[in-house]
Amino acid sequence: MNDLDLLRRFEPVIYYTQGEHFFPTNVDRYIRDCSLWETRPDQPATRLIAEGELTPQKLIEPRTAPHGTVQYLRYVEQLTPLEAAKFLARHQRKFHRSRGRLARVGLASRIVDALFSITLFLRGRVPGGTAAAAAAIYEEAQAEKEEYVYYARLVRQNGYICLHYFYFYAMNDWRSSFYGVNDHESDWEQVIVYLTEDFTPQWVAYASHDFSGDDLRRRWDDTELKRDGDHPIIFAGAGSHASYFSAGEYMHEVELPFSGPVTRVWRAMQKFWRDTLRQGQLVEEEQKRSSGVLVVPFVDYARGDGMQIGHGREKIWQARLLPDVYDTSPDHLQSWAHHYRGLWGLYARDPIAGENAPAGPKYNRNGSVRGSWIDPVRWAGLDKVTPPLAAEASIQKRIDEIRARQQKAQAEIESKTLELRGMGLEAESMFDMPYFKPIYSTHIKKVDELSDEIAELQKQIAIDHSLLESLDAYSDRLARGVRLPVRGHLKAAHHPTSETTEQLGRLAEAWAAISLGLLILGLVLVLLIAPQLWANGIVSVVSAISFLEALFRREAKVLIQRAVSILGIVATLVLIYEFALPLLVLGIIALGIFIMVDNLRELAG
Amino acid sequence: MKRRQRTVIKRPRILLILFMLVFGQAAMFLTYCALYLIHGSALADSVIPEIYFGTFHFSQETMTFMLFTSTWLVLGLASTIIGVGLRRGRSWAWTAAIILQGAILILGLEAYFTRNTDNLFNVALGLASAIVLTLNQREVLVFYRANRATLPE
Repeated sequence: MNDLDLLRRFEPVIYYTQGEHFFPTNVDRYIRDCSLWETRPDQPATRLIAEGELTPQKLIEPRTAPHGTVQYLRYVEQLTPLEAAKFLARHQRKFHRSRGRLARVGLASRIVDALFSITLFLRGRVPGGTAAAAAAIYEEAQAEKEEYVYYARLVRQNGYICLHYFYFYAMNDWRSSFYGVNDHESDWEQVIVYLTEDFTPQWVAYASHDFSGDDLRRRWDDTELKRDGDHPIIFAGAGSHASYFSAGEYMHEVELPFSGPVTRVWRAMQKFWRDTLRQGQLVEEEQKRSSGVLVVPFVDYARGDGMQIGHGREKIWQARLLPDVYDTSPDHLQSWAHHYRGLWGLYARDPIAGENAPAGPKYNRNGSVRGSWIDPVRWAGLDKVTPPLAAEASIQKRIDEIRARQQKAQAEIESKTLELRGMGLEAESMFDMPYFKPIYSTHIKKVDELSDEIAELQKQIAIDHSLLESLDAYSDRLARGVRLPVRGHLKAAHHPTSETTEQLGRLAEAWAAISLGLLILGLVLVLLIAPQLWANGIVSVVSAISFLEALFRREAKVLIQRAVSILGIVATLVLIYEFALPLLVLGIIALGIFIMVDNLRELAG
Repeated sequence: MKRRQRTVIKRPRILLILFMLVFGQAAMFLTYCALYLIHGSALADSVIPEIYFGTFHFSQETMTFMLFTSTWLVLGLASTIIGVGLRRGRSWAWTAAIILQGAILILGLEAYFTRNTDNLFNVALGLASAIVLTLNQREVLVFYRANRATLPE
């Protein structure tokens, strides 16, 4: 079976969300619709090749430029606001937004969200109307020749056959069309199916935003992985095109740029509160898990209720092979994968890169090679996982190595023990010789060091013994066909939000939309009407809004608990401030009594 | 008729401290109330004839006396009832306790920041803070959450 046949045999089927504008497209066609630009440091952008003149061959021609230069494609000139509004009105009717992201999170996250929106004006961003213009061009091209293309390659690594699929979209319109985090021209997504040497599928890894590692992959027999025969099913996020294993709506928390120190302090305080003071919450930690304090919530809609592309569907794939890892031949049909290191769409000059177009399948935006390209096994955390075919032999090899190590350590212990005893005798002989004190001290130090080394070796032997037991047991389990739990490798896997979260009432939705505005208006009114009572006024407004918020979210009890805890902390600090000296004296007296009682108990006991 | 079931879990030892604190708080408020009543008995010597002759009016002193005595009495009785509820492992008592401590802390902190504070308030603040931190202990939360009544399947 040749590479292309194998790739086709396991090619995924993609389910999109209704209202999706862009589908995996032909790169050559996209390049012909683009112009090539360059931005040198501190200089305005210059066009290198005009639209209509650019070809894949011209794109890969070598170009020199100073460090810091960014080369990029431009797919569209944006539409006028009126044209864009008309286009969006025509298309967004297909997409039914469910209960909004802001109703699913608290007031604090809404405040951070407002800050995030402000940063968009300060950062570079994809201009309004770009998505609509891109969709218009894409639709025109599709009307001319409808095609759905993926690019793929086959890599053999560490006993796995990696079937690496890439999907290229003309635009990521998550922000402008689906209330998401960002927009950028062009979008590369990837999926890898891992087979063993006998072509048995073992794992599948889907790219999802910037995640990597164990959480990306699912085992072939995991029920969370939907399949149509040998074809894994991907649920693509609307606009973002991130890949998911299940249909649903996924909450994402995006941390505000430069919020790291605040988040670290917040986490340290939470840890102290939870672990040191053993304080708890009324609501289970798992339900309320949040990654930070300055995070903005977004929903990625991967409902799978729209177009389906792939095997056995109305729309089917055209497959194109990418060059091998080190195939640099310019004659390869897809040699742009290797030779074009620039961005595949508009460079928006966004310092945190969310609005800048991505680089190609092989490269990161800074020109370095992507981890998934050079090491697809490690990308999904499989570098530490032995393929099942090789497991038995690997375990036996490992057992032999450990036994050899144990024998070596045992021999070392025996020789060191002899040495230690000898040194011990020497030390004993010097014990009551007054003039040998300096030598004796040095000797005793060496004896202690040697003793520690032997103890360390003994410890290593004990650990190895446990390892051998464990490996033996695992070998037995494998021989009986028992595998590890199917999701044992997952640490923080992404799951769709629950139905109850999605079914928040309209009132809660409306409250989410107006609460932040009300809070700001309330604060302004307090400062205008009663500036002399500003502190009481601010506390009252914040308390009232927070209480209403808690009522809508059915968390009034949690709010009361938190508020009272804060009051308790403030009161404690006030008392410590007021009575520092008496408290110190009391503490010392208590310590004295404790020591006395403890010693007396020992005497009595 | 089906009876309500309760999940029974072992009482954590920290509950003993909680009971001592809550009943101590109740005793403190009732003592305050008694002290005010004793102090107010002299006031009664002048108030009773005034009521008899119909010349009674609320003076600042009378108002303060009535306000404080009734506040201490209400807080003392509430703490006692809550203490009994907590002792019997009732979930409502936990909620009532946290609300009561919230009210005491608001009154105490308000008094502190407006400089109307005295040692009575400071002791009340200290006790309330200790009770809040104890009520918030994970073992205590788990105990009272498990003791919520659940209907049988």
